[in-house]
Amino acid sequence: MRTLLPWVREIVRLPRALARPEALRDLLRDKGGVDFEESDADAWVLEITPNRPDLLSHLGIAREIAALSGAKLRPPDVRYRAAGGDFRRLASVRILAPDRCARYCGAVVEGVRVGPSPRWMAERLEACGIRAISNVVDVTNYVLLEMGHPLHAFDLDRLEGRGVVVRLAQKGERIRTLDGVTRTLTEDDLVIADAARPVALAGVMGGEGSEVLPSTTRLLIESAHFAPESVRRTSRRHGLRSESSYRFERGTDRVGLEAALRRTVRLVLETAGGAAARGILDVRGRRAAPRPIRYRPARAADLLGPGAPPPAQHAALLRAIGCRVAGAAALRVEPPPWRVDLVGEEDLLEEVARLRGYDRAASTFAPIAAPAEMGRAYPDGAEARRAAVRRLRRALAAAGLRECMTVPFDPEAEVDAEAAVAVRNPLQAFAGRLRTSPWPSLRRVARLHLDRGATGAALFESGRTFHRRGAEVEERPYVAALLVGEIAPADWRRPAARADVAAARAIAEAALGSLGIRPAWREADGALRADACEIRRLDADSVGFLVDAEAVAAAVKPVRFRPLPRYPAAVRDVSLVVPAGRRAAEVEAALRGGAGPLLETVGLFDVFEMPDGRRSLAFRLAFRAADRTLAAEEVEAAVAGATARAAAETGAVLRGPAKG
Amino acid sequence: MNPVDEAARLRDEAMAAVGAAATSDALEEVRVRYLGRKGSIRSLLRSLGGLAPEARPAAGAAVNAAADEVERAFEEARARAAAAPAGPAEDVTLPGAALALPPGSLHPLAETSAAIEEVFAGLGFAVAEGPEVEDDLRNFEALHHPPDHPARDMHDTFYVDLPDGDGGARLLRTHTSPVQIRVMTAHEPPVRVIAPGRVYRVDEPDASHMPVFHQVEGLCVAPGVRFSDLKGALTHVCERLFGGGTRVRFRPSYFPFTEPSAGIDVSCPSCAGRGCRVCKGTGFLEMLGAGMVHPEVFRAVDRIRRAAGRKPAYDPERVSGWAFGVGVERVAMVRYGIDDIRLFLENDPRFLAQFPL
Repeated sequence: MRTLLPWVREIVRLPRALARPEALRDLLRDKGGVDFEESDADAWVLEITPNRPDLLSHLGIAREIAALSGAKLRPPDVRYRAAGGDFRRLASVRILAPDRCARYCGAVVEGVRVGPSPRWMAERLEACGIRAISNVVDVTNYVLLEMGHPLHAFDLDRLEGRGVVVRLAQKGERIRTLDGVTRTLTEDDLVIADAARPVALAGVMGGEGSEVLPSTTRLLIESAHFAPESVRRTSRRHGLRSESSYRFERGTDRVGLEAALRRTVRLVLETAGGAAARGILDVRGRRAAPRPIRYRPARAADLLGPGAPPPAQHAALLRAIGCRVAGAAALRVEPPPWRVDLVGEEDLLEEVARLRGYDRAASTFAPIAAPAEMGRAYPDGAEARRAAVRRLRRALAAAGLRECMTVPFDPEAEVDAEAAVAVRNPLQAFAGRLRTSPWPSLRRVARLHLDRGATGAALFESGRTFHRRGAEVEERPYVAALLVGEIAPADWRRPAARADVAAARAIAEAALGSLGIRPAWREADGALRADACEIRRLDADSVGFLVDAEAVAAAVKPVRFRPLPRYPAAVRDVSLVVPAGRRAAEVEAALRGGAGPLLETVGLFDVFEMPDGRRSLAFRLAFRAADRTLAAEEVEAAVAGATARAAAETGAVLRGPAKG
Repeated sequence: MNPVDEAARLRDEAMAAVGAAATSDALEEVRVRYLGRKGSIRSLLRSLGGLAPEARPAAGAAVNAAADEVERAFEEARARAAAAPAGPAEDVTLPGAALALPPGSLHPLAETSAAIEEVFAGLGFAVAEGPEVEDDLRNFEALHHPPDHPARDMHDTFYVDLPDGDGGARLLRTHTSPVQIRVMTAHEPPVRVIAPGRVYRVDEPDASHMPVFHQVEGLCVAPGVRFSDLKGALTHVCERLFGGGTRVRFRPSYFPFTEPSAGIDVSCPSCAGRGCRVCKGTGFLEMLGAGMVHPEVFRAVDRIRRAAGRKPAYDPERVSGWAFGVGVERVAMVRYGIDDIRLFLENDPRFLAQFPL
């Protein structure tokens, strides 16, 4: 909202301490909760939060400044001479929807001359971003900006029946609003109507057919209170927002609307001439006025803590913002009618705290008296999972991967529609479905890296996938690593190397090893699987490694010391020629099975591809007994047992003698 | 040789090379040789400038047609290679064999969230988590956003295509505050948790807004919790996050689920509060929102507890609490001097590489 300082200064007499705009701005920010989007010497653009509609006018800002500083408020002059006839003979108002309209005030002015507004008024309107149209209309906008209440002027001669009713529309009734659009109404829309048809969407916009024209001479000016939820629903339903609906849907001052009406009449007389009828129409609906609030100063002071104003001072602070206060230990507080946000005791507590100044409150630290008062994690198991993921992330980064964070939407084409949850109102580029797989988003990042000139990409992400389960969605946390292309660049010591399953496995084992987990891999449809994780080649250039975060957290093993061996190991290398198609794991499993209990470790350390498809695999076997140094015969027997089993189960043939 | 013939010759040569390429690298090398910036077909296109003007259209068309054919052939070969298994059936059971990768890195957003968590761990706070797909009850209504109320305009919401549950419409959470409701409906006081997580709002991306971003929520509820405790805890947190000399300013603000509400500003680290471009000359940066938990939130929590067969535990006459929220991107941008929020989720290698382990 644009606020002009000279206009504010007309309404509140600023003390010297607040003469500088910066001082005023600091006061409003530090105690008023008003946010400044822009400010220069004469005009501010303010951001007013939805709970303070009373600040949406120059009077509102002036009133707040007065409350915060004790400055003297000089409200706009609302007096005028009523030279016209009795209002009762000129116009009528009835409220047929009393729960939607708490009060309707109307004034009649006859004999006006519609023409341009005086320059001072037009300038102020334009400075606040409102176009000047004609004196009568401009006055209603001027009073809106000045006092914060939306008013509407009808051409009284074009109202059938010389009056209006406030009622709900009938289904299918239509109105052509002043923006030229014809709208079909529902039974939930509140309208102002004359004897024949709706003439305004109450609180939102006037209709064509009764608006002020250059030929208008007699006016009915409306100043009313409409139920906020009703105006908001109508505004949303018809996609119609106005300065008027903006204020009504936040809540307006049902008492101050009368002063706004009188101010309007005064300014109409001043700018358009004419004679004002004696008296104003004032009809009440059936919306209860807010009840007094019970407020306990001692309790409030406790809640604020050290530095709070002493309980005895609270009543005065509340009076400073316009409350009526009675009582002593427990106060009965009637908030001023423009403060629609003051509804409960907590709202008054905020007033007391901010008027005093939040900076005056102490900074304390409530000690934790017992371990039972420490925070409890939620849900159970979340903390263990987060700790595991934290360690995995660090291990992966240490292994040379870059952590990414990606947008969890995948374009429709890449996702299985039935299993995925879709966004009903997507934003371009943030559209599609919530991801069911970690790979598409990581692959997009890899593509970006390659486009930027990298020869490969080693990435990981800790995130969630989303899976539709009937009417519900299951969110699964994961850690995924993607290796693409040439991930180890050449240096002077070695050539470049490309991502493959073995490289991914080394990284995976290092990362899981940091959690004490040694995965028992098994081959399953082209992938390597273990509990909680999987390594898979995704295409000719890419390998992925995926960890289920919940499962891995459950598998974490704490470090447990194992006593150091007392006796030496005996090491033998065997080189086996293995038929084509046999897996290294099969050969290793056979060696383990045949070697007996003395075998401590088996490690493949060389692979040689032969042209006919067979491979030569070299294994280092280590044997150890806990209670003695092994004799040579025991070791040879164990080796023989191992190689025999390998031959029997896989057809692997010993190539040369075992080397020790 | 005239350009049209040359184009045909190069095209034939290139197609043969594409066909002969046995590995992805070889294929890429062929592409660069012919279609790269210095490639022969591109060079030929550039050389057309030396022709007589009447000759250019026909020649240009011929060269472009050749380039298109080669490009298509290249794409097909790539797709074939991607679909085919790599070489002779790979033995995936070979043991892991480590490669020497250059150093990796952690994402600045994840690390900033971890730094915030660490400060709160030091104050005795545990971590709570909640789902990203939430419902209207826990995201709005129980947090004192009544239906038909302007407070809801403050968050533009993504809705998802799940049927309404007992919590109403299903949506992507617009803040981490729903976790407050989940924790309090599951646990009795005292509560001392932070809840980091991803949130979503319908917002056109620009340098300071993204539809997907991250927050850390905090909640502290027990008998006798005071506004001064909120000030103490958050002043300490700001000093730890931004440095010991940081000045912290509390001013009135508005959130539907707290009353009193406060906005918390920190002195601008770029200029130590003297005023600069980063803080638009004010010397301060808006950083956190906080306040005392609104009694309506406590009442909503107890209503949910009762409906689930649990006993009410959040009588506003007996307990009080404070809550806060902070944007992780905001903290990271200030700490690292990052000027465009879109960088976080773009994952450009030149961005990620700036944050070493």
